[in-house]
Amino acid sequence: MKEGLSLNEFYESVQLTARDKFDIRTVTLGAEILSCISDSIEKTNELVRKRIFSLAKNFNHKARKVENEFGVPIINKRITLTPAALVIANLFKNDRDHDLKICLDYAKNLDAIANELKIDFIGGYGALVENGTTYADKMIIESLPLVLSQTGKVCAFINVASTKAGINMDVVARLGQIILETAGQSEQAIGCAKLVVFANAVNDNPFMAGGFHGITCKDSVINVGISGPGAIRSAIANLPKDLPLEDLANEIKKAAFKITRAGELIGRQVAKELGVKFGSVDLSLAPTTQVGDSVGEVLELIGLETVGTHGTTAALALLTDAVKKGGIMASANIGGLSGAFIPVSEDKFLADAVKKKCLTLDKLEALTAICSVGLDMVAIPGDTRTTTISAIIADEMAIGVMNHKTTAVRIIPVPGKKAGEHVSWGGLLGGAYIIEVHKERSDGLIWRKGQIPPPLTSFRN
Amino acid sequence: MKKIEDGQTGKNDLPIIAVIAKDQPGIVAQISSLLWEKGINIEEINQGVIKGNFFMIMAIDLTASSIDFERLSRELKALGKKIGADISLYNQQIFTAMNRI
Repeated sequence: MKEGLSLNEFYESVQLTARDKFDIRTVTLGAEILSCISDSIEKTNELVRKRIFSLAKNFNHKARKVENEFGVPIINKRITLTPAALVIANLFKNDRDHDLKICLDYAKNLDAIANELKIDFIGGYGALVENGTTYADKMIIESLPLVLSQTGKVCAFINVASTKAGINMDVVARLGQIILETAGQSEQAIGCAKLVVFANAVNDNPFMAGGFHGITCKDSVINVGISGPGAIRSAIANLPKDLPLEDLANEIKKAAFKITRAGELIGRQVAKELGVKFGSVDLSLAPTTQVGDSVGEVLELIGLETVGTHGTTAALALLTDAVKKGGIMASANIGGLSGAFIPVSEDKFLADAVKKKCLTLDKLEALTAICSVGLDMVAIPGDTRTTTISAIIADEMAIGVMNHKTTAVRIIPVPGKKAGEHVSWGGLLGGAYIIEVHKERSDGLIWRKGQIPPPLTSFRN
Repeated sequence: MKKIEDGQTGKNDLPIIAVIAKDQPGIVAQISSLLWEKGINIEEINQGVIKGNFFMIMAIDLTASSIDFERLSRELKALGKKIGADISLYNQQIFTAMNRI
């Protein structure tokens, strides 16, 4: 048979799909919609609709076809779009009520499209404001509580910081209030799960809630997120407990190579079926609520009693780096975030570690220095001060800005809940124990507002 | 004749049936009789015991058959359930991609 594969190699690959929950986490279609800008919201909506349907009419069907052919399930089908602030900017009239209605009409149209196409999420409702806000950016931010509570599948992002620009603290201060407002308007604060605040956001992120189709990208593109931690877990679960770390890293690299190769193959196939160019593979390990698909568990297998204890940062560094090295060898088109995700509510081991108070907000923040999305799906008490939320965001942004990397915050203040209590959202989002935040105030810092200047290391010209 | 995919030419891209079972005499016969019914050629068989499991791969040629990839995949899964084996149908490219640089 082809390339003289051994029976053993076939066996390992079959086991990976059959036993190890190997899957393609997401196939995401990115589409440019600047060409849909028109002189009324009705016309813009109609053109956006036509544009998306012309690309994605058969998205689900084609994905299923490829799924069947390769024997590897594709878990999520998503669409990312050009940032909304650019698409509807011309429709605003400097009249708050009118402009919020434009925002809502636009978002509801996207929601309807996502529902009709039966895709999981549609992203790109957001703005890039690291250098400052336009009026349109402001309206998008102001509309978030409304949009996130009145739509189901629309995902939002705001990029508030970059290494080149520094941190826009005006927006960070406002977002603390916006996030709390969003929490109050949606059931169990679920709206907040659909908003990601970024530093150094990337243009080709296939993952939600933060994905958008950057203005530097092609007309349309397929980006792929590879399988979850299950495949890595089974690669290392049966190895000797005293295997030196460099050997352990090597085993992780091998597994990452395989799953990346499969991810690229399947992504290219879906792209071919849809007649869209293939973009990139995102190497991020994304956990799910399923048993055996946890980043926390992989970290514990490396040798921690409970994830969150001392040594967690080191173990995550080894894991993330090994996944990248294996993945980069496997494909020439690596993009997106390509780190590790630690979404607390979506990962059983992480959620349990929070319950035991072993994994704290401060430790999660430390982990962000070496993974892609630090404070992800973290539930905090509903009575958290808005300035505290802003300060948590500012800390994360600072890590990203100073280290030339993407960081993000997806934080959920759950109304009526106190630290230690449980909240359940069900489905992909899972459930979480409310994590404790510091009581001491950060008001002084936040209400100074302004811009935290970019670091010295950004001046490289 | 149904085409599996545009690039399918020659024997290097034949679909692969993979079977994992505890130890089941007669499995090969059951599968090959299903394939015979559907008019599917078996091009190559390779089998062995790996980690205590019976494991078999079959490269098949669907071009002369009236059944398409998806339907065959479903029927093989159903047969697997009946005889207590894990039977799946794959596009061979996935194995090459995962195991060769």
